[in-house]
Amino acid sequence: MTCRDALEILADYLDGRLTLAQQVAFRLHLGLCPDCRNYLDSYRQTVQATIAVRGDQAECESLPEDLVQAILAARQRGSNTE
Amino acid sequence: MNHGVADDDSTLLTALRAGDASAFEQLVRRYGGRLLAVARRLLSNHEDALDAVQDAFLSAFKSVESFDGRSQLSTWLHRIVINASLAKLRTKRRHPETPIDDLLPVFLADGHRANPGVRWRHLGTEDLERQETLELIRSKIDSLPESYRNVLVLRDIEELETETVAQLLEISPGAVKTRLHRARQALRTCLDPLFGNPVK
Repeated sequence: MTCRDALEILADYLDGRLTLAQQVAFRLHLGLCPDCRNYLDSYRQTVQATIAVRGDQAECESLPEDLVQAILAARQRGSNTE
Repeated sequence: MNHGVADDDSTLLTALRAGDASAFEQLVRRYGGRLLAVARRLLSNHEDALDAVQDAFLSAFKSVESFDGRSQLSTWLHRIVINASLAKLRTKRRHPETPIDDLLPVFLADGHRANPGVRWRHLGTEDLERQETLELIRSKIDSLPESYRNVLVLRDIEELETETVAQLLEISPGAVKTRLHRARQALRTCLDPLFGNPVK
């Protein structure tokens, strides 16, 4: 297995979608290739960093009040035309 | 276990179906912030995100009678705002997308990487809770080519299944998986300067 091959199936490896034979080949390659070990580690941390964004960005942030009023007004207009 | 509408939302849903105006206002105020956060992840422009949220709520108002209550109200709204955000993206004038290839690993003819990778330092919880770090990560996500960013956001942040993302983006599940992997690789490249230590 080359580095190109290994990096191509990285996501499947993390998702547990590799066949047993693929897992063996992948792990053998990692054992021999520090560069790919580093890459796997940084790839994992990239996914964690992306997930970290999920918990941020003010889930408690409120809508601007003028937008709230605009939405309610638009809904009212829609109701009036029905 | 009841995975449907919670009691509190159940009361709200009943009022919405009855056309109770105060219920609509309660819905907007209760969920508006969350929907805005979702829209902002797909739409870099804040004004576009506000528009998408407005479109989402108006769509929800029109379709509340057809909501069967088998999922949470928040889940239903989540899907509506994603649809509204993607629709907004489709209406915007598109510039040719920046190729993602420059952000992907480069290989030699023998399959080895052309450049030795940059080893990252370990990212602890405190790193990923720091506001400036999160803002930087978000800005790097925003910088990805749109077709890859959308998949990354919908899969890794919004936690939608591959099949669902495929339907929303009108691409195959295989394309979703490929784009997700490449988006992650590209983001990794963008984050190298932030988290990487030069390999000695």
